[in-house]
Amino acid sequence: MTHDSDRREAALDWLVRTNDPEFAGWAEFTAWLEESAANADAYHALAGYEAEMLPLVEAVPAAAEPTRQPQRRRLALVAGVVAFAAAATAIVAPRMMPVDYSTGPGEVRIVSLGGQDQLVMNGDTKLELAGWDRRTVQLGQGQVLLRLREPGQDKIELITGDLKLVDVGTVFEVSRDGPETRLLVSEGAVIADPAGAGLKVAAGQRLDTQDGATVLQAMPADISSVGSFERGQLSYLDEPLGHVIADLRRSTGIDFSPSAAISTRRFTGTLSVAEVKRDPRSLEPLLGISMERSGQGWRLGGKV
Amino acid sequence: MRDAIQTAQWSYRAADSIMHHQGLQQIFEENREPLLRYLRAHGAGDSAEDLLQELWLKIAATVSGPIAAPRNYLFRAATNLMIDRRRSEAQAQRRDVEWSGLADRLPGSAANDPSPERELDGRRRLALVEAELAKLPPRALSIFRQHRIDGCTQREIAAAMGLSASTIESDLRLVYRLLAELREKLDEA
Repeated sequence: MTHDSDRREAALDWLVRTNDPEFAGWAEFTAWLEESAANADAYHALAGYEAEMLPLVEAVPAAAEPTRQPQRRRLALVAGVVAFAAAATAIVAPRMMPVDYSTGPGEVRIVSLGGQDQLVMNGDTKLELAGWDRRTVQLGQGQVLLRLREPGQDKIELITGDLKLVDVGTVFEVSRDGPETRLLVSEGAVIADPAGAGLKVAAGQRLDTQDGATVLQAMPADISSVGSFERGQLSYLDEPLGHVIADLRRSTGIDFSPSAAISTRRFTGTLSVAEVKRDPRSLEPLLGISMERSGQGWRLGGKV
Repeated sequence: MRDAIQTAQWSYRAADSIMHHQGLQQIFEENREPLLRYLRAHGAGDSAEDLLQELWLKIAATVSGPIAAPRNYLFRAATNLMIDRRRSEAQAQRRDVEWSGLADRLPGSAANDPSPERELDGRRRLALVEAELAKLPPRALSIFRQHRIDGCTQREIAAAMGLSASTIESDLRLVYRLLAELREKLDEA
């Protein structure tokens, strides 16, 4: 019993040390792990729990931290200065600066936008949160899901390429690949190009466009796929293969590159990210394509 | 037209990544044995070789620029890979248990319908997490958020807050310990 709790304390120490980005004692850590399989078990119990709790910590409306409460910003600021003087100066001041977020391929990250508002980043995604309340999202590339549920919050503005989107209390997903933008709305509505076209994209609709487009048109959409990347499932209804493959790259971290010929073909079905990761070649029959190794990645072409 | 643009982009990306990979690949090869040993120490067993290959594929797909501390980067990536793997193994096991529990229930019973139950569960969980986090000293929680959510190093936080390295470490221990206990509590709830 005592032995187990000693082991847990040691594992806790190692977790604190190894979680620091500057940690470099890998040989020493290997030696500790090798002492007993139970050491690795203890470390992974703690590391796994922490990884599972992290999104919850991020999701907790920061009542415990006044500096993260944008809605009653000015009031909170005063209270914050009194109660948490040190933390407030450290965190409130940089809040006004834009912040960059990025994910590597295959990584999913949840960013709290205050209260119950959440932004979920799929892999290989780059964005910047700007504005006083950090409610302006500049999406450089990749895919995000926005779950905006906090009542009484300011609107979220999402800008990508030359397109601006404004939420009307909603859940929606935006993907950016090269000059193309895809918007899927599953709840509420989004206004696209509020200063110009002012197109309302309602729940159950999508908008496909690219930089320089002069006309915006909403289309009916299969919204069961909205945010499916978060669950490790990718669902499509008559989607161009170019989009499917861009999503797969983001979610698996595997460098799939489609030939021009197959990018415009269409796919309907559901793909499991874990399965594709385990066996990339399983895409051949699923997508009806041929695959060839190319460097560290795969070249995808038409069936002969 | 659109196709032509896309093809150009893909080939640019491929060439770009190869250039950056050569240096890192060399360091990867030099550290092959220590990395294998590290994966095995984490319980990779017979899969160690496969995992090492998976690790390289991931790194090759992720890295798009020069890396400051490549050896650290490789071991860090290996750590994350093993944490992910052991987590999904543990989750699969838990699902099996849940499933067998669920299958025992009578058809048509309210408990068999997972959605309202699960929704309530989500809200209850979040409330529990919130209540437990509120018990932590605010400084410890703030340090944890800066470290694990904003990605600041322990040294940066220590300097910014005027605290010693050991204070940062003991605050982080406090939060990790609470999260582990909380996670176990959620399992029982």
